[in-house]
Amino acid sequence: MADDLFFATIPELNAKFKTREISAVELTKLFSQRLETLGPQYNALALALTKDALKKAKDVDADIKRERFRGPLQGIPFGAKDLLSYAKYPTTWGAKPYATQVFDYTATALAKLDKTGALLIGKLAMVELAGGGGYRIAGASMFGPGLNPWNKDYWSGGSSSGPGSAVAAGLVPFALGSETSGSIITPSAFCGVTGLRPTYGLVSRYGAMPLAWTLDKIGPMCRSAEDCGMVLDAISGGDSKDPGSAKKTFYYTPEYHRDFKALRIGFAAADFSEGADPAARPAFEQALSVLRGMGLNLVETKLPEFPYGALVNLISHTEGASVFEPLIVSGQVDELADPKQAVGLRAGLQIPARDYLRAQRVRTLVQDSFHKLFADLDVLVAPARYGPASRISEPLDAGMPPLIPAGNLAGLPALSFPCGFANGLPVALQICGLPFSENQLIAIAREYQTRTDWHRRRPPV
Amino acid sequence: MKFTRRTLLGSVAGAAALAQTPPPPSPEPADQNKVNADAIAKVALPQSTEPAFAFRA
Repeated sequence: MADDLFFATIPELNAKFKTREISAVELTKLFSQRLETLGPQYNALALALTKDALKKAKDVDADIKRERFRGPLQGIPFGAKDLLSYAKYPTTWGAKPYATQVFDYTATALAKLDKTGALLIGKLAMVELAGGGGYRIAGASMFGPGLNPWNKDYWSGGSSSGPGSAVAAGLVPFALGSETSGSIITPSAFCGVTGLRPTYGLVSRYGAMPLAWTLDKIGPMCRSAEDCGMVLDAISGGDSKDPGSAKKTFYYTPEYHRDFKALRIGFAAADFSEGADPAARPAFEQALSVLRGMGLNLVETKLPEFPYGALVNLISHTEGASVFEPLIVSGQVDELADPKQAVGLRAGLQIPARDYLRAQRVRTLVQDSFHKLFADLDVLVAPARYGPASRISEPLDAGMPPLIPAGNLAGLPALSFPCGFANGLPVALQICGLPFSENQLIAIAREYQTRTDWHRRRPPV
Repeated sequence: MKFTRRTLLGSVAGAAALAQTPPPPSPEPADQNKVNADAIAKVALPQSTEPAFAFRA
């Protein structure tokens, strides 16, 4: 019974509130205790916020008693990557030099969730500075390496390592992560949870650690695609405090998705053959047949030819070095856990303006090419990562599917959902669409999840 | 497919050699930035192209 609760989706938890099977206070106590006990075992917990959450849970219960319903997230506990500020509590950005940093304001995404009655029970661990210097080891965090709940000898993925582990291990029903290039998709894939990287600008980044202004996004990591829709509905919207805001709102409307038979899904055959880890290929092949079985029209395609990795790295390193210039100049950058990060940040300050501007101009061509590609296609599908998580002790040098940097450069939304196992560890597919096509992506993954149970599998916690 | 002891030994020895080969050292970040810039410089860029900072729906 209790275990079912820890792995319940948001609608399932709502049902328990409605039947008075459990109260918000009881649910918050159960999850908080679990997060505090098990979180450190995965190096997933940055800061427990139990007292604060319990106080708010009492208010939620009073509201529910008076039948004042605020929506599906009311009374649902959650966690947030420790890159989002929460007023008057430490926000470490996963990095020792910022271990005692406290802001007097709360990130917009957290403030929006607070309004819905969702209960923040803890800040979750992350790769230091979201890996802005180009981290090479899983241990690049003041919290230690993110450990994968499916096997603690393996990495949880990064940089949203805590959200990935915590959702997978049933320590929180959902979490907020962030992505500059791969930081939601990777831990979601490695930990077997469903993660959504929204269109650039759809979710305010006010109160979030900046790493690369033109690339950073905040998004949900959940148990299902449907849960991602509900959380995105709550956190999206224009924000004058975020200069990158698209001033658009997302409404989760699963009933209005296009007929799957009318959709053309592009895939690159190489991604599923020579690109993919041989151990993961059967799972990917099986997943593609499920998509075909849904009526989706899968067509072979190729991504436009660009040096995506080089572009995203050059842009993020230049912007990141500018953001962290005071840290670099002060020498405190040497306190980072991964020495490669310090070297990478210093090198970022030396990138000539002409290289950065050229990269941003080529990025315009990338965006144009994707608009052209989407004239014939509705969605792209690829492995979220080519294989399962790597060992904690191994350097992080596995290549990533080009759709990750490409989608981030073009500001496109993507959704990662589990599709099987390889060597006992989860693997996942990612689907990527036009800007602001999140409802379409969620509808596809939601249908996939009614036909499979990979997202329901539980690690041996 | 038929395996002889010789081919099996050969494949095992080959695998062992591969396993003992240390991974190539990753380039230093400054060098990597140069490599990245060189790769980007190869993309033909029309003169009128402006930097990307906005995203269209």
